[in-house]
Amino acid sequence: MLVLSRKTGEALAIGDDVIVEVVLIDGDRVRLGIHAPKDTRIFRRELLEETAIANRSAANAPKISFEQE
Amino acid sequence: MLIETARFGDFELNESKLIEFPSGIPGFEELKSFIILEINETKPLYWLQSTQNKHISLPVIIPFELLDDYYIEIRENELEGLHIKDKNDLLILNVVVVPEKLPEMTANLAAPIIVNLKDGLGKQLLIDAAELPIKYPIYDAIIKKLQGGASDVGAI
Repeated sequence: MLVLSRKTGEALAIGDDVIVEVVLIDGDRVRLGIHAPKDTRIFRRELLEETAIANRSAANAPKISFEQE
Repeated sequence: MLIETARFGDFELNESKLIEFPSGIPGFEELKSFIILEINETKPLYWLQSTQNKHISLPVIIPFELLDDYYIEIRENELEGLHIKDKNDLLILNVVVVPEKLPEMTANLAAPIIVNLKDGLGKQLLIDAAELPIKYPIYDAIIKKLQGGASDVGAI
């Protein structure tokens, strides 16, 4: 893994199309600004992990019947 | 072809109903082939059933049947990735986690599954947006829908 140090207002480029800028550092939180092509989805990594957990949980559904409820 | 399911038994289904997920779905990356089952007893929950592992069937909803204001933006490249040329071939699903207490069931609105019904191709998107929770309580909307009508068993 590549590890870089950046200050507020500094940025880094990923390939030709993506720029990630450090907008604000506040304690252990960092606000990032991301410039990327519109067709690039950007999401917090937790979303992938939580969706994987949700999908696995969904596969353990109990018996379900809505009839005559 | 014969479809084996642990939950609903075995049955014959036309191969054209198969939906290929080239990347699988998160948590089940190894499963590439599913069908969507419509089971009268559980409607308006449908089932995304693996055809490779009979034990894996995920309850799903069609959000537009239940939620008036569900809105997602699908990118052109995502439609192209599924070879979707006609919006009428597009089906959107959300996976539902159903705990023992049914009223606590939640739908993952942040990760819609988009399906090209015509070509049998699917993908689960990840959309990071405040208005699309991963755990959206969906039971009330289901009960409200049930107070509407019913139909029989089939496959989409």
